[in-house]
Amino acid sequence: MPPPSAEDDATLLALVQRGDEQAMASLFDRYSKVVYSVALRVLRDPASAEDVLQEIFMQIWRSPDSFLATRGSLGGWLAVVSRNRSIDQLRRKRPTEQVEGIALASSYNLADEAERNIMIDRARGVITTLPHEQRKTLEMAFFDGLTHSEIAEMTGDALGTVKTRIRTALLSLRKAFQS
Amino acid sequence: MIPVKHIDPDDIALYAMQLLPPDETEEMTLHLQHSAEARRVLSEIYADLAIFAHSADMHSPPALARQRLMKHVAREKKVLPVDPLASRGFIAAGDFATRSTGSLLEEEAPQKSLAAKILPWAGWALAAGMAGLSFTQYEQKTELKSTLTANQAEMAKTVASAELANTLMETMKDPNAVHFALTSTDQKPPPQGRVTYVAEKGSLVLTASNLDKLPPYKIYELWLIPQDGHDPIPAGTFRPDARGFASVVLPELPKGIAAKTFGVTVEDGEGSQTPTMPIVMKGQTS
Repeated sequence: MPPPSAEDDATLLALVQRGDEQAMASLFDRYSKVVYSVALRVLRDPASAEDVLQEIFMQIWRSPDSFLATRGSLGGWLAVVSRNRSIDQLRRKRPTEQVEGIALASSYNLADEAERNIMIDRARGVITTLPHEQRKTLEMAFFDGLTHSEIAEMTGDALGTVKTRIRTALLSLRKAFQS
Repeated sequence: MIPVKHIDPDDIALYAMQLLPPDETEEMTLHLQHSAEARRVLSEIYADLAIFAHSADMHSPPALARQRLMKHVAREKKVLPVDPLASRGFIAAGDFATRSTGSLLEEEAPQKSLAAKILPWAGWALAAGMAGLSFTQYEQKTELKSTLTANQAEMAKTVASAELANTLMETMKDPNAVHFALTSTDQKPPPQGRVTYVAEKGSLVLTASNLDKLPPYKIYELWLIPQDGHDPIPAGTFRPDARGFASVVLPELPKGIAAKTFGVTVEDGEGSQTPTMPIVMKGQTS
């Protein structure tokens, strides 16, 4: 069988659903770096980050259909799932996020390596243009998993300010990406 | 009844990051089930978060990670059920039926009644029906078998667990039992620090002990957290000695800043202008 098309995550997932180990290896080669890097950023421990990586890819192997249903970018989903799993591990919680049912409104084709690299470069560039407070607050929430109350306590800002800052940072990010 | 409640869009972002308390999470989940607009906002936020996630420094996973995954994958090989309709024999028979009856119909159509037209198909239809039925029954039987096995295993587990609970209760209640409290013989004292700070003079002394060693490219940093809610102010960096002791003596600080508390974080290089979570030590006034 010829190798699956490089840009087609759905084909790979369908093959995984039929038990194709080679398709599983292709998905790993495609997305393991992002999944591992996000987990490492949150957990700051290579061994724990690899645990998250293995857990997520085994979830794909066991139920690829739940990822097929995401109707968006698999790469984007995996980045978010990796963050959420890592935060769960930090809080010693059972995994909670539901991949199914909610679409990810992304127009980026992260299956393509070149587009993935462009996304990484642009994301880094855009982050630096955010006002310092917005960037720091979003990092504390996303990568450190601190709740808005915890952030408010640490920074001395009002709860509402923290919440608005997170949302505004995300909107600025979106706007900068769309421009 | 569909709950109608105003949902703050800011909260949807917190929900996406799993940062809402359990009761608010539950409320938001319910709201999302009923509001297409909220689901649209959520999917946009997920896309934003996916972009933000890509701002993390990229590292390749360890070389053996792929091998380990593929080993797990091979261990959990998937067994796919055989689809009888797609099995070679049935398709061949079907093809044959189509071909043969097709040619017959062309030659004999004028003489045949409706019953005669249907009858040649009836046998095949019956065979297909029987094959389908057999497969459904086979599937049901397999499913029942696996449910039965699972139930038996569950039952055995419950019985074993009940026996264990009984033994446990008997041990705890036994009047002849003797009790010992055990503590670790190798207990590591927790890191401690003491800050003495005079706000009017901006003078400060920190002494710390039992600190963990840090990698060479990391450093501890002390932060003054002002009472007025302004950003934390860096109040000196330090590395512990071989016994875990460290101190900061009279760092450069602005005068007249009332402190709400002090905190210590671990930073890269020679320190930072903003603290990096988590806080490894946090102060209380004494």
